[in-house]
Amino acid sequence: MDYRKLAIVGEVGAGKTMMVSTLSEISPIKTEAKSSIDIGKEYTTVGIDYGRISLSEDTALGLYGVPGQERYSFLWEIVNNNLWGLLIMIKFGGTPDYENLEKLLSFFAPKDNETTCVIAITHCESADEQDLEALSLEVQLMLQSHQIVAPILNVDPRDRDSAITVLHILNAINNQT
Amino acid sequence: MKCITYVSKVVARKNGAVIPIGLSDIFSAARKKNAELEITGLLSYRAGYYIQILEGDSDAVDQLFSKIKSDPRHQNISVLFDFKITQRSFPNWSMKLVGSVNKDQNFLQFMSQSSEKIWSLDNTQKQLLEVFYGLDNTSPASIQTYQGKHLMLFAWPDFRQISQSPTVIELCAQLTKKPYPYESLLESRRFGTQQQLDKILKKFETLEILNVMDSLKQSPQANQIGSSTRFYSKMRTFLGLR
Ligand SMILES: Nc1nc2c(ncn2[C@@H]2O[C@H](COP(=O)(O)OP(=O)(O)OP(=O)(O)O)[C@@H](O)[C@H]2O)c(=O)[nH]1
Ligand SMILES: Cc1cc2nc3c(=O)[nH]c(=O)nc-3n(C[C@H](O)[C@H](O)[C@H](O)COP(=O)(O)O)c2cc1C
Ligand SMILES: [Mg+2]
Repeated sequence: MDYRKLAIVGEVGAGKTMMVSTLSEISPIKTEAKSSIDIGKEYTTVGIDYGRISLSEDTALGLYGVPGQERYSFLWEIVNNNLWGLLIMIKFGGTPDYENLEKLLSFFAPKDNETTCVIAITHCESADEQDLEALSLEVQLMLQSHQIVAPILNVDPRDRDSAITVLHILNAINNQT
Repeated sequence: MKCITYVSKVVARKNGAVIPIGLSDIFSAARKKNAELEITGLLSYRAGYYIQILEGDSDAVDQLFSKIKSDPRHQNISVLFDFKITQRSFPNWSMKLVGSVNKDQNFLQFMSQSSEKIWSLDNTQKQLLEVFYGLDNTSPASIQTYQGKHLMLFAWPDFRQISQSPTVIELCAQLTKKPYPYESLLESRRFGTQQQLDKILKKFETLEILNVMDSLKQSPQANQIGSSTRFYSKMRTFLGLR
């Protein structure tokens, strides 16, 4: 069995659960719960979103949506081996939590592990183009300070084509060794 | 009207990394506020420093600048130019955010009009300006060829500045993880003719994302053919790419 993992991490509401359900062929095992505190939405994931794409009888990509906050780093441990890719999701609007992003990056260490990494900026379909460009630049400069070379894409996880583009780019980068 | 140009330093983070945190917030707030105040100008970040040009009604500029000076998101504010103007250099921009000022036409024009003032800057000020803008024009216009070079990306391009075509994506992917010889790019024919390939590479250079290296101590390992390649082609099939 050739089985790889795609880790999908990001802040609350970035669209991890949505990404997994859009891409997965099986109905994802969701661990949603009504949020007890006000996070601006009703449901939040309290564990891993698991989904899967079978590529052939003996080849599959596992999709693992994991919360981005450091207190869930025990979940990061579970997914952080044999990674095919690391997808970091950032929700447009306001300055991202860089402190947390940097913890994530030092845990997954995509540079040292040579893990292919893609950044997806979500919730941006009605964002102002210039504001979006400014956010991309800011994120890009953060990546460069960690010597991480990775594309920053605008992604709508509700849209299949948009989600598929992410896989396409991850695959293209992975093929170059 | 007046114009103020300053350079400031971005506060380093606990882990020593220097990143312009809040840049996008600053930019979006600035555009709204400046439009109200009829202030125009430019903002750019490079290597730990901001440069900003503010132009507009003298009182409005002074008031805004004194507020910006006390913003905790930067420090060591150093004014380079502060002078009266009759014409704006950035009339169409309540704030223009530029990745690299030395490629920006408005900025270059602004600088060429300020050449006398540049010479009266002290050494510290000149050094700060040089973070953004080369003062000596001695370096010859490089008619660079990529022959014999190894290439790698510092960063992926912003797809608002270059088209997100399959060729560009393939090329970026190839240059993401390891330096790659130019000749191999050419020979593979995956990126069109030499002229087409060079055109994309030149564009990467203007975006300042291309690292052109002379030679490599160790030659890159050959493609490992095996499980990775199988996974890759199965994924391609899944994605509908033949
Ligand atoms: N408009 C818009 N809505 C989005 C986008 N991405 C996700 N959503 C919606 O945002 C909400 C939150 O998405 P989720 O997938 O639950 O986010 P999550 O990352 O799993 O959040 P947590 O589990 O709480 O960490 C859902 O209602 C999604 O449909 C987007 O790009 N645009
Ligand atoms: C480098 C830098 C440049 C800034 N440029 C502007 C600007 O051009 N216009 C502006 O209104 N605020 C600018 N600000 C933000 C101001 O310092 C301040 O936060 C903003 O005007 C909001 O102030 P208020 O909350 O009192 O309205 C800048 C901040 C920094 C760090
Ligand atoms: Mg979720």
